[in-house]
Amino acid sequence: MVWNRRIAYVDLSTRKVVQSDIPKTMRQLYLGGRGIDMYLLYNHVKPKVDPLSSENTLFIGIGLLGGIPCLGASRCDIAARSPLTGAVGDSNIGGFFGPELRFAGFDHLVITGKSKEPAYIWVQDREIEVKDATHLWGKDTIETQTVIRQDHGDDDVKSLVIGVAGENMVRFANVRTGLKNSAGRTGMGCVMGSKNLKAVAARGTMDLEFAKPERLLDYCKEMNDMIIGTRWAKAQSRWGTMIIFSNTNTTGLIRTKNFQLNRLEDGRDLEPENIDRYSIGTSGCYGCIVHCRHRYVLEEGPYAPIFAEGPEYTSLGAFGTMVNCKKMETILVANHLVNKYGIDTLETGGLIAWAMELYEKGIINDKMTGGLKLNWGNEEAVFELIRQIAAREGFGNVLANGFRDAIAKIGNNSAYYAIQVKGMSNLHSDERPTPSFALGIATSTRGSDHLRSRPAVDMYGLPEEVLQELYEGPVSSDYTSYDGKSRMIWWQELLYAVTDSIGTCKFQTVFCAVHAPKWNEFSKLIQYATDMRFTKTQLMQIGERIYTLERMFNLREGFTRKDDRLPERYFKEPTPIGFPIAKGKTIDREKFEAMLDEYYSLHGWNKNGVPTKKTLTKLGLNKEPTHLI
Amino acid sequence: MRKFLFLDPEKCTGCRICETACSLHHEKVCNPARARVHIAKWETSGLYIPVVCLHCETPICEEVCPVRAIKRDAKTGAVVIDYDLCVGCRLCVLYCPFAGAGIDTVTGKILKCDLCDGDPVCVRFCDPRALQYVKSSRANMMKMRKAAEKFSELMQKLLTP
Amino acid sequence: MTVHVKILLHAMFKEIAGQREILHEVNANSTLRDLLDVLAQKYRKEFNSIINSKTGQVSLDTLVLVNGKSIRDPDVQLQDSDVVMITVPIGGG
Repeated sequence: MVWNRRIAYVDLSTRKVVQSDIPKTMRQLYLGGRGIDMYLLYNHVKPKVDPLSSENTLFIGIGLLGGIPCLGASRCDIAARSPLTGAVGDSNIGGFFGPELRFAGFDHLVITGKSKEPAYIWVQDREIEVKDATHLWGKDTIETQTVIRQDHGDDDVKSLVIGVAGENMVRFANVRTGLKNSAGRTGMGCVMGSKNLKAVAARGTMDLEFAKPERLLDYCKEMNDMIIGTRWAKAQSRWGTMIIFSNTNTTGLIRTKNFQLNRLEDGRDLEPENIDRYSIGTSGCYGCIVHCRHRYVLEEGPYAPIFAEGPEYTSLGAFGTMVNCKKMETILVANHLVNKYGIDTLETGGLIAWAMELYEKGIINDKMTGGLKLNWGNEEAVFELIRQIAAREGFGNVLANGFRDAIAKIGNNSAYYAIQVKGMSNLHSDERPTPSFALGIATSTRGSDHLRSRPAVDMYGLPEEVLQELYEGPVSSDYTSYDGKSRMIWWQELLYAVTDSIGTCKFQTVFCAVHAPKWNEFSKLIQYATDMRFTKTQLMQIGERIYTLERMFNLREGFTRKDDRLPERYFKEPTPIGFPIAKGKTIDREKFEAMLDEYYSLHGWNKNGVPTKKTLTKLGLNKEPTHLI
Repeated sequence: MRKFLFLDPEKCTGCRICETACSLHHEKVCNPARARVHIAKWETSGLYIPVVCLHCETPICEEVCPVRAIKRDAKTGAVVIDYDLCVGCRLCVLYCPFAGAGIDTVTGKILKCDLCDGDPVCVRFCDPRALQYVKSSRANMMKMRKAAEKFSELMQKLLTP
Repeated sequence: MTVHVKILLHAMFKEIAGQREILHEVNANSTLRDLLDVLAQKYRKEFNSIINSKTGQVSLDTLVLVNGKSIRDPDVQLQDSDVVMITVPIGGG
C-alpha cells in the first residue's frame, strides 16, 4: 500500500541520503503529489530565498493514486520556489517516471544543496545514490535519457532530465521525461540546473499493494469506460489536444500576433487533421486510455529527420498563431526543438511573440536583435531564437530570464505589450470574451496559467440547472457573463488541487465534461486503494488547504492583491474579429474587481487576498510551518 | 472454435494499462515487473510491441519442461503451468522464443499468461485494441483485411499519375 | 423564401461528412432542429445523436454553436447567413 512508500531527503552538497516514512496525517491532510509538495515547499524553503541558490529546495512527488490503471494516474509534481516568478514554483508531468519512482519504493524526494560536479540521482528498489553526470552534461533531453538507460543496461529506466537550457539556467527551463512529457512551467529545470542536477532516474520492481484490489480493478475499468464513452475523449484520442484549435480559432478566442488579433484567419494548415500527414499513431501516458498525442515523423526539410511526439494545442499557439506562422511543419519543428533543449513551449512562444510585436513597433531593432529579423511569420527567426534562448546567446539571452527581466532590459513601454501575470507568460488563449478564464489566469498561484482553474465547461452554454448542481450555486451559462464565475474558478481551483494530489490527469476530471470523474469517484478510488475515507466536503477542504497554503507562500514572498491582475490590454483593447459573441470584447475593470472580491470571500480570504484567522483555523493551517516531515 | 490472443502492435499506444491490470488481477498488486504481459518499447523510434505468451500449438515450453508441468487447458486452450508440478528450473523461460514465460521478481516462480480463464483482463482494459481475444477465423480475416488495405494503398499509389 | 446558412464541422463530424464547410439552403422559417434532422438523415452515425432523444435538447457531449453561441434548445429559428458550428465540447486548454 502507499503506506510503505517513503520520502527521501537527498543533500546534493554532501551526497547524504536520509529516508523516512510518510506519516498518515500527511496523507489525510494533503493526499500526495502537489498537496504534499506544497506542504514541503512552505515548510522547507525559507522566506525570500534566492531561487537559484543552494538554499532553494526541489520537491518531487507522485500523486496518491499513482500507478493504478485508469485516469492517466501517472502524474508527478515538481516544486520549488520559482526562479521565473519568485512565487510558487510547481509543475506537473505525466509519462512513466512517476509510477517508476513509486515502484522503486518512493513517493517523495526532497533535494537540497548543490552538487559541485554534474550529478544525477539514481533510485532503485529502496536505494538512492547520487551519481556522476559529467558524461551527460551538454546532452539534449532525449539523448540524456538514452545514455542513462545504456549506463544501467536497462531499457525500462525512466528519468526526469534537463536539457542545455536547464544547464544554462534559462529561467523557464523545464523538466522532461520521454519524448514529449514536460513539467513545463515555472522553471523547475532551471532549479535543477542551479543544483548541477542533470537527472533523476528510477527503476522499480516493488509491489504496490491496495486495500481492496478486486474492487479497485473493477472500478478502474468503470472509470475508463466512463471516459472513453464521451465524445471529447474520442476526439482527443484521435487528434490530441490540437482538436481544441478547431473550436477556438473558428470562434475567435485565440491570441494571434501576440495580442493584436484573436483568430488566425488563414490558419487552415494548423487544423488538427493535418497531423495525419506526419503521424504514425498516438501515444499514451502510463494508465491512460485517451492517448492524446501523436508520434510524428518529419522526413523532409532542413531539420529532418525528426521523430517526436505532440504537438499540443499549446504548440499551435506558441509557434503558430502568436508568431503568425501558418504551417503545421513549423509547429512540428519548433515543438521538437524546445523539447530537445528543455524549455517551456508556452513561455518561449509568449516571449518570441512579444519580441515580434516590439520589433514591429520599433521598440527593439536589428541592432538589439543581432540582425535577427523578427517579422511576423518568420519561422527561421523563431527556430533561431529558440536556440539562442536555450544557449543564452545574443538576443536569446535578453529573453532567457523571462518577462520581468526582459522588460527591465528593454524598457520603453515594452511592459504594455507583455501578456503575462506574475512574471509568467499566458497561454495563447484570448480571455477577453471569457471573464471566468480571465479571473483564473489572474488568481493562479503560479502566475498566468490555465491549469490551476480553467473551467472549459463554461464554453458550452450548459443549462443553468446543470451548472447549479455542479458548482452548488448560481452560475450563468453565458460564457461572456461575469455572474457566478468567481464560484466557478474557486471550485475548479479546489478540484485541480486535489486532482494534482491524487496524480490523475486533469483532462479526465471536470475539464471538458461536467459528468467526468470528480469528488465522489476520487473518494471511491482512494478508499479502494488506501482504505482512507473522504467525503466530498472533506476532499474539497483538502483542495482548499492546498490552495490556501500556496497563497500563504506567495504572501510570504510579497505577492498581494495587486499581483492578481490582468495585462492592461485586456481592459483597453477590444477583440477585433471573430464571431459576434467573441468580437469587440474587453474585460470590465469594475466587474473584474467585483469578481476578485467574491473569489477571495469564497476562499475565506479577506479583501486583500489574505486568509482570515478563521479560515486558517478551519483548515488547520494556523500553526504552519509545523515541520511534520 | 478456439479463441486466441491477437496482437496488433500498430494499435498499441504504450500506456501499459495491460501490465498494470494484469498484475492487479493475478497478484492483487500493481507491479508491471510481475505482469505476464509487457510492452517492449523503443521510445525514440515510437515502436511499442506487446510481449506475451502466444499459447503456441506446439509449445516449446511444454517440450522442454522436464517435469511435464506445462499443459493445455482444455476449456480455454491456454498453455498453463501446473504449479504443483513445476520445480522452477526456468527452462521454459530460457527456451521460449517469444519471451512468453518470465520469472516473478518476488516469488521466483514462473510467470506466464493463463488467459484469465477465458476472459483476459489485459484485453478487457485495452481500449485501442492492440490486444484482442478472438476466434481464429476472425483473426485470419483481420490479418487478410489488413494485408488487403496495404495492397490497396499500393495500388492507389501505382494508379495515381 | 429560403435563407442560407453556413455549416462548419469539426472533429468526427468533419470526418464523417468529409468536409469542413457546407453552404446550406433552408426554408425561411426553419429551426436548428430542422437543419440537424436533415444532417442526421444525410450523414447518420454521430449526427444521429446530436439531439438527445430523451430530452429533445442538444446532447451535453456535443457543441452546436450558432454564430459562436452555444445552443441547447434546438427550436431556434435560423436567420440568413447564420454560421452553425457542430463540434465536440472541448476547449479552453
